[in-house]
Amino acid sequence: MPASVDERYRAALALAYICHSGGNSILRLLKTMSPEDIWAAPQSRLTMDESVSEAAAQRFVRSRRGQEWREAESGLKAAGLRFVPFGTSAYPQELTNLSHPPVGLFVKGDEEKLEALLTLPRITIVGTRRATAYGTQAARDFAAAFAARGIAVVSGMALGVDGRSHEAALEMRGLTAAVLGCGADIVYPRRHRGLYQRIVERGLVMSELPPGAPPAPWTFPNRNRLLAALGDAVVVVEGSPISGAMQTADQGASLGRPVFAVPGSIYVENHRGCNLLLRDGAVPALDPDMTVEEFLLQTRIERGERRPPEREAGAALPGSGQDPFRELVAAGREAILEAIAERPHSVDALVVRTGMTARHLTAALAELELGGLAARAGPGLYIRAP
Amino acid sequence: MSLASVWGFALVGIDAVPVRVEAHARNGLPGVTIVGLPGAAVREARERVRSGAASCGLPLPTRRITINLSPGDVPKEGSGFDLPVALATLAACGYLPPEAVRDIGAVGEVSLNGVIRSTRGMVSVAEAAGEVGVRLLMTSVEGLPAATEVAQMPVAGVRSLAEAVWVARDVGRRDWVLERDRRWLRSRGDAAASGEAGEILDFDQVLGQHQAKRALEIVAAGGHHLLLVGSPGAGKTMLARRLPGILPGLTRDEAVDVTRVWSAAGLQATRAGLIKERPFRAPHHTASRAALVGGGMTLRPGEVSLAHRGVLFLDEFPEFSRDALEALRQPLEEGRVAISRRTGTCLFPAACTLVAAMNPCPCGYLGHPTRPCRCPAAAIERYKARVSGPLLDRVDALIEVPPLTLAALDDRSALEPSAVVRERVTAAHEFRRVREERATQSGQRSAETGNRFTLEARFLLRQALVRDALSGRGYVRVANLARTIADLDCLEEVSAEHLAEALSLRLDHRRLAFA
Repeated sequence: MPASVDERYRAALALAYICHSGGNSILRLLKTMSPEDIWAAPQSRLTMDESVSEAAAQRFVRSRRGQEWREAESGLKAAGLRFVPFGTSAYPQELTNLSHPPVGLFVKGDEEKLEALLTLPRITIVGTRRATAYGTQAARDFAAAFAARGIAVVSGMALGVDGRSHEAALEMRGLTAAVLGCGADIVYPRRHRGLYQRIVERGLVMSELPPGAPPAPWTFPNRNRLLAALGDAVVVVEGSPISGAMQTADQGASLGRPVFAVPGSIYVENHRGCNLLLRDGAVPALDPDMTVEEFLLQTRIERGERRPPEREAGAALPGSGQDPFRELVAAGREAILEAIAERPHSVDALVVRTGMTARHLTAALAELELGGLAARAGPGLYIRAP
Repeated sequence: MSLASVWGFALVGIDAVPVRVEAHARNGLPGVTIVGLPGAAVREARERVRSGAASCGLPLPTRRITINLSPGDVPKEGSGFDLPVALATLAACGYLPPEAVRDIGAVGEVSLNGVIRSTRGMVSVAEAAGEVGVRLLMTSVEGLPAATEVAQMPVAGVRSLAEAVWVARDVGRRDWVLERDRRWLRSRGDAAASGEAGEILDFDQVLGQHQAKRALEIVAAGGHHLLLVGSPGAGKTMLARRLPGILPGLTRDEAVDVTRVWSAAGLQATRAGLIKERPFRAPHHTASRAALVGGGMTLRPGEVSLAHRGVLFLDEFPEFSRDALEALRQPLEEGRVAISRRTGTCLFPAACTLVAAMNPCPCGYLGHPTRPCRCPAAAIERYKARVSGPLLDRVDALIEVPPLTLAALDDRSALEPSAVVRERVTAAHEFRRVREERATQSGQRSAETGNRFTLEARFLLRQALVRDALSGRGYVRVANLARTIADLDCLEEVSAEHLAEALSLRLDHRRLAFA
C-alpha cells in the first residue's frame, strides 16, 4: 500500500524526535521498512528484525505513544528549519548506506542550496579543534582549492580546522555545509556565531537532531558518521590519534570513501593521527590542487552523474600571486629559515644553532612571522610556515 | 591652667591629617569624654591612657576631663591618638605646663603599663607635622627610623609615657633622648650595611630564556606591563623575581614614596627606615579586590600600591577573580587608584610594573613539544577568556616562555649578571629623560613618538597593520615599545629592527585574544 507523502513526512518527523542516536537499533529497520511502517508497526513486528532487542522495541513503543507530529511541526517552524525525511528525493542517497541512517535531516538554509548540495561532488574536511598555525593554513588552502573547483565543502563547524575550512570555502564563494552535533538551530561553539550566520546565508547547516537538542559528548561521534557519509572523500588535516577527526576518517574508510591525510611533523602530537592514517594507506594530501585532481579521479565523479561545474579558463587560484614583502623579509635570513625548516625551535635553541643574539633573532622572527614565512608551533616555538 | 592641646594625626588612606587634640579638666562627675568623631579605637584611648598614666606614676585626678579632636568633621581612626590624648590630659591635669606641649606632635599607642607602641603611617605623619609647624615629634621607637628620614623637626623615640612627659617638660632630658636616638640609629645603620645578606636573585642564574630576559630588559627600561605565557616549570616565576634587580635603584624621593605607602599599610619593613629596594609584590591568586587595589573598612592601600615604583607579580593570572582583575584596569593605565567613599575620594599611588604569568591552558602543556595537552578545547577557551580583552590591551608586551631544552642548558654563553643589565636600563632611563626634556623644550608633544621612525620602520609598521596583525591600540603600544627599545640603544630614531622586536612582543596578543 503506497503511503501518501504527508504520511511519510509525519511519521519520519515524529520518529526523528525520538530516534536520533546513531546507536539506536530502530534506525536499522530503515534498511527494510519505511518510516511510516516503523511508526505504525506493533512491537512484535519490530522484534522480527534480529538487530532490535526486546528492550529496545519496548522503549520505542513507549516513547512513541506520547509523540505528536503537530507539536514537532510547530517547533520546526519556530526554529526556522526544514525537515527532509528518509526515503524522499531531497534525502541524500549516500546516507542510506549507513548501518543506522538518520530518519531525516533538519536543515537550515535555502532549498536551492540543498538541491545544489545533492548534485555537486562533496568533500569532507575535518581536523583538530586545537589547530596549529600549520593546520589552520592547510585547512584554508585545501578548502579553498576544493571550493574553487566547485566542490562542496562539508565539515562540522567546530573550532580550529572545521571552522577555517568553512571560512575558506565561503571566501571562495563555494557551497559549504555544516553538519552539527546539536540541533541545527543551536550555535555551537558560541564563538562561531558569525560563521554560523554566514553559512546559513550562503550554505547549509544540518543535523539529524531535533531543534533545541543540546550538544553532548555522545552526539559528536554520531554526527561524525554523517560527515563521513556525506563526503565523497574525507580530508584529515590535523589531529591526534584519538580525535574525532580520526573517527570520521575510519567511518569514511569503512564506507569505501577515499581518505586523504595531510602529512605532518613526526615531532608534533597533533600531527600523529594524520601520519598514522598515512601509514595505514590514506592518500597523502601533498598539494591542494593536486589533491583536488586526485579526488576527482578517485571518486570517478568526472564519469558519473555528479560533475563539478566547468572551470573557467584562466581563473586565478588563490595564493598564487607572489608577495614582495615575503621576499623582502626572507632576504638574508636563510640560516634561520633553514634552522626551523623541519621542526619547531625556541629562540634559545636558535641562538645556539645560528650564533645570532636573541634580540636580532626575535626581531627577525617577528618579521618572518608577519611575512607568513614563520609560524608558532607552541609557546615560544617557531617553525617554518607551510 | 586646666586647658592644654597637642598635635595628633589622623590617617586617611595614606595621608595624615593634623588634628588638634585639646583636653580640659574641670570639677564635676569624674570621667573622660572624647568628642570630635572618634572611631572605636580612639574612644578606647581613655581606658589605655588612664591605666598607662597610672602605671607611670601619674594617676589622673578625679576630675571631669573632656577631650576634643579638631577638625570635628574628619573621622579619626586608630590607636595612634593615645599618646597625644595622654599628653594633653596630663598637661590639663597639671603634670605638665600647657605651653610645653603646645608645639609637640605625638603619635603612638599607649599600653596599660605605659609603654609606647608603634602605629601605621609614620612617614605621612612626619610630613604632615612639618606642615603645621610642630617643633618636636614624639613617636614609638619602631616608628623612629622612618619618621627621622623625612621629618624636618627633631623626632624623639619615646619608650614610655613617663619618658614622653620628661621629654616635654625638661629640655636637658629632651636633648639626652635625642642624642641617644641618634646614636642608636647610627649603630643600626652600620649593622644593616654590614649584614646585608638574604637571597640573591641574579640574571646570570637563569640559563637560556634569552628572549624572555630581553623582554624583561625592555619592560624595565620603559615601565611596560608584561604577560608571560608558558608551561609549568618553564621559568616564569624565576624570571619575574629577577626584574627588580635590573631596575635602576630607587632615588630618595621614590624611596620616600614607597615607604609612605608601606608604612601606611603597617608593613614591618618600614621599622628599619626608608625602603631601599624596589618593591616586589606577589599576591596569591585568591586575593580579593580590596586586597589588590586597596580599600576595605579602614581604607588601606592594596598590593598594586604596595608595588608602587616596583613590580607587581600576578602568577596564575587567569585564576584571579574577575572582579579583582577588572579593578586593575585603572591603576595600570593611570598609575594611581582612586577609591571613592561617602566621606570623600582617596588616592593611592600605583605606578608599578605589572608582570603577569599564566599557563597556555588549564593543564599547562598546550603546545609543549613532548607532553600532550589533555584539555578539552572549550576549557582552553574558557581559561583564556578569563583574561578580558580590555585588560589584555593594557598589557603592553606578551612573551611566550618555552620549556628549557638541553641545548640551552649547556649553553652558558651570553649569561649576563643583573648589574650589567641594570646599567643599560639606567642609561635608557637617562636617555629618555634627556630626550623628553629636549622635546618639551622645542615645543613638541613629548609623548608623540611616531614622528621619529626611519622609513623602513614605518614601512614595517604599515605592513603589520595591513596584514591585520595589529589593532588600533596595539599600534600605539608597539610604537611605545619600539621607542623604549631605541632608548636602550640610546638612539634618537626608531629603526626597523627596533620595531620588529617590539612587534614580536605584541603579535601574540591576537593569538591569545582571538585564537
